[in-house]
Parts: sequence; C-alpha cells; structure tokens
Amino acid sequence: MPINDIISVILILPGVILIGLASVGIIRLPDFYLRMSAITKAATLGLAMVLIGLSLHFDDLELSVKSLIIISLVMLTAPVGAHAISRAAYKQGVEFWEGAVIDELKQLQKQMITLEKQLKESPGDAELMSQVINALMKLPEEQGGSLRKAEKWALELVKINELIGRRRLAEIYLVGQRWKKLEQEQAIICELSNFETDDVQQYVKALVEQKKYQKASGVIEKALAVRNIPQMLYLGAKVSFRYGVNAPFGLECARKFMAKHAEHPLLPEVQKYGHALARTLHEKW
Amino acid sequence: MQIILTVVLVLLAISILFVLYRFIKGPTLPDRVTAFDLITTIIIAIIAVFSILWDSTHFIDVALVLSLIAFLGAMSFAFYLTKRRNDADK
Repeated sequence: MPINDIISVILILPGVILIGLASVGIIRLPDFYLRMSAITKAATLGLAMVLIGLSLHFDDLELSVKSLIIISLVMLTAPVGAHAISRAAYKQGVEFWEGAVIDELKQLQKQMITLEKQLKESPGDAELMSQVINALMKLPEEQGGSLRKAEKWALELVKINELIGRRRLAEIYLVGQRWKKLEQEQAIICELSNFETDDVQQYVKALVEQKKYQKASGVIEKALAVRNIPQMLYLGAKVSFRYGVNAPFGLECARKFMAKHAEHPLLPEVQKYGHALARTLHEKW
Repeated sequence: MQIILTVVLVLLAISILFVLYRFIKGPTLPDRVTAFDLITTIIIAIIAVFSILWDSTHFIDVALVLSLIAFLGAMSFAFYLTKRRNDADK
C-alpha cells in the first residue's frame, strides 16, 4: 500500500466516524436546535476530511481543486443554511427541550406582560411607562413588540413629564424612521431642555442623516446663543468641516474654541477642522 | 484498501439509515429539513468513497452540484417556513 493511500485512509476513517456521530446525534439529541448543531459541526468537518483524503489518493490537480471547492462551499453554506432554518423554526414556535436554560426573547415577553399588568394597577407611573416603552421597542413584531403601542405610551408619558416623554417619542420615531415627526419632536425637545448638549447632538445627528446639513448648522448656531460650551463649538466646527456647509460659522467656532479652551482634550481635532476650513475660505489660520 | 473502503461504505449506509429514521419520525418540519440536509452530506461522502473504489474521477462533479443544491434546498425551505407562518397569521 503506497504512502499516500495510508494517509488518505487515516483521513477518511475519522471523517466517516464523525459523519456517523452526527447521524447518531440526530436520532439521540432531545430537541431540534441541538440536532441542528450536531449536523452542522460534525458532518461538515467529516465531509471535509473525506474529501481531502480523496484528493490525496488520486494526486490529480483538477480533482483536488474540485474537492477544495466543495469543501469551501459546504463550510460557507452549512452555517448559513442552519441559521436560516433555526430562525424559521424559532419563529414557527418549535419547542425547546425542557432542560434548556435560557430563552431571552420569551423572558422579555413575560417581563413585558408583567410590566403592563403593573401599569394597569398603578396608572401614571412614569418609570414603569418608560420600561414598557423599552420592552415594546426591543421585541420583534412576532413576539408582541409594536412601535405603535410604544408611541401611544410615550404620548401618555408626555402628559405626565413632557421632556422625558418627548425624548422617548423621538427615540421611537428614530427607530421607525419617521423623519418629519422626529424633526418636530426634537425641535420641541431642544426648546424645552434649553438646548442641552445631548439633545442638540441627537437633533444634529438626525438632521445629518437626512442630509439637511444647512439646518443642522443653524441648530448649532441657535444652541450656541444659549450655551457657550466647548462641545457645542466643537460640533459646529465638525459639521461645517465634514459636510462643507456654512464654513465661516465653522471657522468662527474653531477660533473661539482655540481662544477659550486651550486645555480641552478635543483641541487637536478642532485645530484640524479649523485649518481645513481656513484654507477653503482663503483666510489665515 | 478495498476492505477498509467497504467498511467505510457500510458505516455511511448505517448512518443514512439513522438519519432516515429522523426523517420519517419528524416530529416537526424543520427536523425533516435538517435530516434531508445531512442525507445530502452523507451522499457526497459516499460519492467520494465510490470514486476511490472504482478509480474514477468523474463523480466528483456530481458531488459539487449536490452540495450546491443542498444549500439552495435548505434556504428555500427556510423561506417557505417563515412564509407559511405569516400566511397562517393572516
């Protein structure tokens, strides 16, 4: 028996044993998800070993390339297919084994139901409402999550605590990509919180997402009139630099930043923005 | 070599029988789909072993096509499963 045959037998035998183990697993393991894991791991490795053994036996380039293609195809497609089928099965409600420890989606669902019950008992609890909105936004639609319901609760919350409620509403609109409403809501939030840094940042982010750079710059300008803090100056320079709008304003922001906050950690970046902006305006930096 | 390969073929045949048991028993459709997937994998292995036994390299093309079709089948079944559930909701 030549040496390459010995090596190919050494590869083929364990490969076949792995495939055999996978098939034992598929009849012995207790639930669908465990069986799935058995066949995708053991069978894929087993098949790869058998095919490598085959190409060693023939010592033929064409055949080796073909078997390599099969191996890479199987290794790429087996996990993808397994994931797709498991996902479909979970959505269809295929049962878990009773020994399974964790099912996060179901836990979240249960949590939401108890939260809603508590909310019915003590209506007007802002903290509880906030939690219910969180759960509704996190859950997929098949498991009872719904942006519409979340919006309804957020509108209730607005009646109790306007600022927090409107912030939640803005989050919901952002997830649902309802830009017009989001913009309205964020304008009101900024008015209410007197241009708090986080709110302005969110507003600018949403505007940039919609490519309304001019308006974003305008918002920062308004915010600067109320709060003259380094973050806002940095934001102004950054938006002007990144999206090429309102360069004089950006340059002014960068200059003010340099003059007043020389010790700030954001300084090098602002310096970079200011330099570029000054060059586009043909001014001295 | 001959003897070892024959033993290997017998092993593969037994594992196909095991998988067929799951294929028939179920209990759910995803179980059957995965069982079918494993049967295809085992058939590719059998093709490989047969090409050594018969000393012919032509069968590897069949294995190549089969591995592609197995993936397509799994994906379309997954699509069908999600689709069926949505229709049942309506």
